[in-house]
Amino acid sequence: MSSKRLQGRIVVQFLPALTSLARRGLAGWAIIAGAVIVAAMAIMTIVSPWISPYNPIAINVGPLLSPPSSQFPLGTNHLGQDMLSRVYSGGAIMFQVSILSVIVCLVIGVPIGLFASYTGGYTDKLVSLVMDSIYAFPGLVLAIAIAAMLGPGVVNMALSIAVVYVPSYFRIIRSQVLTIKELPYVEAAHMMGAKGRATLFSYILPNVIPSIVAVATINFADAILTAAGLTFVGLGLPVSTPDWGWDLTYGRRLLTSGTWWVIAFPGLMVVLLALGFTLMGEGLSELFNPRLQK
Amino acid sequence: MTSQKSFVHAVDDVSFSMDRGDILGLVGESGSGKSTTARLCLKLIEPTSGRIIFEGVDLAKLRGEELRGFRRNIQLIFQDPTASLSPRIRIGEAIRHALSFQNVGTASEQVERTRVMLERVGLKPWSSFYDRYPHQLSGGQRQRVVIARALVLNPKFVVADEPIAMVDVSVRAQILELMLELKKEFDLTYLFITHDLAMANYVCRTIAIMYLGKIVEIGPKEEVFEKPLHPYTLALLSSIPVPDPKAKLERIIPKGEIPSPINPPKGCRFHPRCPYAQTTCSEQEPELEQIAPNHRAACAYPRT
Amino acid sequence: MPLLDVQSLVVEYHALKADVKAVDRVSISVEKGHTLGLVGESGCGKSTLGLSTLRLVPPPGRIASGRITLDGIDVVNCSEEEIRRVRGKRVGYIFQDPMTSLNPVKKIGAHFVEMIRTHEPEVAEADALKRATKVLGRLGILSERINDFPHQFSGGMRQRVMIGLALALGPDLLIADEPTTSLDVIVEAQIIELLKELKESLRLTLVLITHNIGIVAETADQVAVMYAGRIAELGETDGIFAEPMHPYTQALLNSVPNITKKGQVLSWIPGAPPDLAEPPPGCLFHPRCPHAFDRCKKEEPQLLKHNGTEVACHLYDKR
Repeated sequence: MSSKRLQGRIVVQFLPALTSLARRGLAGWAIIAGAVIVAAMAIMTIVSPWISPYNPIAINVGPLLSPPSSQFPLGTNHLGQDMLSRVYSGGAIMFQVSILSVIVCLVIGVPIGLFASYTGGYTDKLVSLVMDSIYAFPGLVLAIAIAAMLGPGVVNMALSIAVVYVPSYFRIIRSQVLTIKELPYVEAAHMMGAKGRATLFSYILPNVIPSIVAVATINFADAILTAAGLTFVGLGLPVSTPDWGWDLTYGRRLLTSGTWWVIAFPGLMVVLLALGFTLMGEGLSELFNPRLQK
Repeated sequence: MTSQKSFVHAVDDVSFSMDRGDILGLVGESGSGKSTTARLCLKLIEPTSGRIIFEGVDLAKLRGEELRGFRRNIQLIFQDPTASLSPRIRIGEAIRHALSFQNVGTASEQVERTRVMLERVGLKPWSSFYDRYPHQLSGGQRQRVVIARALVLNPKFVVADEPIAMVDVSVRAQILELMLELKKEFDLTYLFITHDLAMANYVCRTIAIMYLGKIVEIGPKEEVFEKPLHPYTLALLSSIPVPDPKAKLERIIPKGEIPSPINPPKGCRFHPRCPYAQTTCSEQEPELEQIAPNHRAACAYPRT
Repeated sequence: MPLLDVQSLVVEYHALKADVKAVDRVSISVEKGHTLGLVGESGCGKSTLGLSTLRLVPPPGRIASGRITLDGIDVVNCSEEEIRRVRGKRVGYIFQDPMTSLNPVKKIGAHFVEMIRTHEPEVAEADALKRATKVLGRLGILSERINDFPHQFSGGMRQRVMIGLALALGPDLLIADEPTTSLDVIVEAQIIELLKELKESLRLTLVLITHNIGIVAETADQVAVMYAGRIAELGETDGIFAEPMHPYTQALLNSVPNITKKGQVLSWIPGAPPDLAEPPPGCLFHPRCPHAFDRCKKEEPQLLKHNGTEVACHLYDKR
């Protein structure tokens, strides 16, 4: 198929989805806006090897600490690295860490949430206690503590963020399951003689999914910020990898001497990416909840 | 069937029996225990004590797998057609689940039976309904799906909890007719729960009036509605709005309100509100006794 | 001059597919001291009509055209100030669900005080409470209960509180939207008797919005039957029940069981009310009407007088 026809096909398939989202008012626009931002940044990160003017980790490609200029549109840092190239590729780690942490949360948090709240009784009480205890800690502090224990690396960062976030999934799922459990259609499932597992997976889980999606997108946003925070504190990654978090750390130190561009642009990227995910998440929550109420 | 429960005295020492093919209307207001009684019959709630004998088997004693298997014989039609269907399951599948949960037949046999059932309840052609979601149907159509789901297993006994209360007025009779036709076709026995006496009069053969956890009157419909014995039944009958502006209404409105089931009045539960109460009514709780042929009432001074 | 006069009211909702006319060119008028029963099933627009008389239609709904005159005041065009003064003081509204219409963290007395003092700020709290006690007393609620919270009341009592709140400022017109729908049979009878008695003693004008034909037969002088946003039939209660003309009215009356009638055979209406976003052409009822003929599919029937009743049906339009 010619590329033009392929493009046409994609547009035709997307268009109805887009227009129906747009019709849903502010929430729909939030989702579209958020998705556009995230997609744009993902694409930027993926194509960075081709569009970066310089190797992001090559040092001394230019004068040290030079402000934005025609040759280095975003300036250079204290190692002579080109900030523009670093901004293009610095998101890679962010994406990897956040995607991994969300996957871990889903794989661990969702089954635990479903099972504990459906079973009820002591199981539910015990698990809730554990989850509430974790939840009680300030997120970043806990992440730092765990990351310090586990050591540097993408996987470890993802794990520490996951641990912090699982209680949030648990809470949302639990409140949903407790509500749905009492609804007539679950009673109907029992009437038909459904076994516990069938009820849980066919009747309860599908109705819990919208709220899971909403939490997951907020999770992404939070993971981005926490990952940046972890690197900022020095836990997280080997120095050579280009990473916005790393730039934030050093950028902060350079700020006092008037060098604003090292922290500003990566910082802007982090905020923008977190914003993108947040918009999507908030839009999705809006969309799912009022409709349920109606 | 006999059932009894006395936590909050939701259902207190209730005994009644049903013959095969009967349509019993369990009529009462809120707090009467009618919904609880129905759910006890289905063993959706555990009775505190008592027996629920279905074709010789005591349901109260069944557990686990045995109970699950038994569910094929007794089904429930819910009040709220919207809330009793999962919004994320297509209605064809929802009906088929009844068969698959009970391991009846192969998957294709189950689909075939579902299709037949869909058309039987008036959702023709099945092909345009099988894959729809509940929100794509009207209230009346949803209630038909609920009925289809209840009957696809060929149960013998069906409990219908206010089956038309949440369906539009002009469609109610259609659902009732459907239920009566299906009764003939499948040889069913119905237990109807309702607060709508006019509807109970239209559909049921036997009526049991409940008040605060007890049956206060029970008998054939003609007896109970035309020659009511218990003062509460009289009050209920006189309270029904009649769609005829020329009708003369002589209302017997009992004083006060239905007391909380947590602390029912001593003696006859209705006595504080009864316009005909005597002194003995507050001391002794009357038994459900035969007063007229086939017609029992729990009142020391029935209105004959 | 009628107390409430609605002329060609159109209320629209902006929906995803198209603009939906929840109320389509409806005209009703209620004389002082009379009771109008507004009857119809879910989605017919009766609640929307009730809300629009006080400009309470929630967005995305809006009054698109028509006139509503309430005791001389032009409801559609008057200022916010004016309409606020009318609400509660000149017109009392009983909302559909007494369970959720009361603030659970406010005592009953506080509800009344807020209501009274919003319209008459000069009234002292103690006086407002006295008035509340008096109103509730008439409705059978003991005075000490003024310090109770809504959850301490049963359904029937809460509905009486709602009626009390609607009457607290002494309005001339009372609009009751499904006042007895969530109540038990005996409580329903109590409330109906209460409304009838208040009608007499206070010379109240009442608009009763309900799908319950029985209570309309009992309390209303006039009945308006609504279908899909339009009036199908409008006339005196006795006439409409004795000889319903519109096929919808006939079917509706035949579908309600009458316990005093022996051997009644109930009928029903096949199909479902139309999707107002894509209404059928001509008469909105024709797809379900047993008497529909050619003209019904093309031309919308006008509301015309026939034998003392107004009916919108081609069967009676010999033009």
